[in-house]
Amino acid sequence: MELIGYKNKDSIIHKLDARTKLIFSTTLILLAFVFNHPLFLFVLFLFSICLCYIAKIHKEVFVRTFVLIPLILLSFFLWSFFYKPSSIFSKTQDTVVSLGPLNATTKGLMYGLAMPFRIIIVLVSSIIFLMTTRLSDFICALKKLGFPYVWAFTLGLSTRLVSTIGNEFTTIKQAQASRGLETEKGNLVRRIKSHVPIVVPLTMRGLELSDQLGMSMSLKGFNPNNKRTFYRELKMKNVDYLVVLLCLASLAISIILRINGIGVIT
Amino acid sequence: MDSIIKTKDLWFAYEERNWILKGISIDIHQGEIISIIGPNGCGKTTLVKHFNGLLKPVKGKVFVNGIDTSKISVAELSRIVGYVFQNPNHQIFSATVLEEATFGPKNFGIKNAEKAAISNLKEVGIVNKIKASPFILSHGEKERLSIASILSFDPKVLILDEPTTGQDASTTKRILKIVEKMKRREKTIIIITHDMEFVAECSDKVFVMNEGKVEKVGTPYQIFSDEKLLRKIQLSPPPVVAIAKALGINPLPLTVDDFVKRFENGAYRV
Repeated sequence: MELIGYKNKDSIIHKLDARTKLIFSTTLILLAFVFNHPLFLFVLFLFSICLCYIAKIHKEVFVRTFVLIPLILLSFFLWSFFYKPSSIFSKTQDTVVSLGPLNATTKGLMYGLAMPFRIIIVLVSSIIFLMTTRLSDFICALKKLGFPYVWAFTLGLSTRLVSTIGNEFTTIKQAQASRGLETEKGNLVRRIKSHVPIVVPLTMRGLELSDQLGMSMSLKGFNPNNKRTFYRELKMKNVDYLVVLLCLASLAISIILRINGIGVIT
Repeated sequence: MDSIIKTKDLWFAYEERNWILKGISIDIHQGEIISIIGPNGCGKTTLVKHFNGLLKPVKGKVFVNGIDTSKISVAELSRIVGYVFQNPNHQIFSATVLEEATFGPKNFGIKNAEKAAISNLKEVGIVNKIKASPFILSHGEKERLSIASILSFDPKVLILDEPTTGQDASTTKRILKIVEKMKRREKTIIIITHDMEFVAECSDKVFVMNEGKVEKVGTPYQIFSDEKLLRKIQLSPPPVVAIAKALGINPLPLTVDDFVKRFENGAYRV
């Protein structure tokens, strides 16, 4: 069931402080939005793939990005042909490729090449963060970076609940399948209807679980406004400061480049 | 007796290389009452989920009624092997108790679904609540409703996953009665349980599982008199068996009735 949960491996990235990793992935995503030239984005793309290998999670990342190939192709197609609305159906001077009634310009193709990279970079850098950071460290990092504890707590709780509800869903589906329920048969309406015996118990279980959770939180005297300490304290090492510094520097440099028109489709 | 469920060197893992079941070969015959016992997480539920095809073996084979389970759908298998899940809240969704009990039979296209459901609700003792919402039933009643909802389509094999956990004495007795009734109808019953008294009362054969393997197969008598095995999997036999052991009674009585009989008419002296 775990889609993008923590993978326990031994790598340099795993050892970084959660705050560093949060800043690092955010920087990578920001860089992907600073530039829009396919060449620049391609370099960033290669860089994030290298990171996957360093973190030893390349297999997991590839499997998950593989699912997105249709989205990537669609993005390429839409940007290439629909970039400039005026030239979609009529050939102009800068038309380079025609596909039936659709025409693409050089600029459109450039966008078509660049945008899929942007999607992949955003995705891969978030996955790298989530797969190399323990949820407890993530929560601790958010708190240390000055976010309200309620935010961090809600994030932790909802992430935890996703997998719980996922397990409940599997069990309920199996219980109903044992009574002859077939959810993959018939037309769309029948299929949606056949999910009623799953959705009703799932809703009831969801209510039951949150009721129990609320009670056990009250019993332990939970109050989000109390000052909290953490069992695992985060500690910034020299490497962490170095990485943060490099992130800020590369962000500053790239913004300057962008202002000077480098890395932008013209 | 004919074999109804057979596994041949069954291996199963949810994740690569993390084996939950490690080469299980068992044979269950028509009309037998089987108890599966063992510590938590030893693979009991995973094993029985193979019997109605919810899980398919990674290595090895499972045969139900002579058919390889990897070649047949869950729906077709469930018609033969009825599986009552541990928590009744995982299946209850209907507006009335009767609708809940007829859900299975209707899915399998059984005629007179309502008649079958009513007779089974009578058998489990909740026929007076037929028009009530299943959500307002007590936990014991929900458990019995989920058993009735499986019995209503009359499967050859019935699997009960921890039916007596968290139940009071009278519900446990009721479930025991249902099991005995099913035995008279030549049904095969497979019970996963931690309730050793329940095991001693009703089972013909006990499978003891430990760490994904079947440690021992035998009658309750054979299992409860095997000191080494009991110590290995930290199992305590029913109190009456423990007392009899302490008194040095031989052969061991398994139930209270059995125990009392030994002392009747002064037949036995300590």
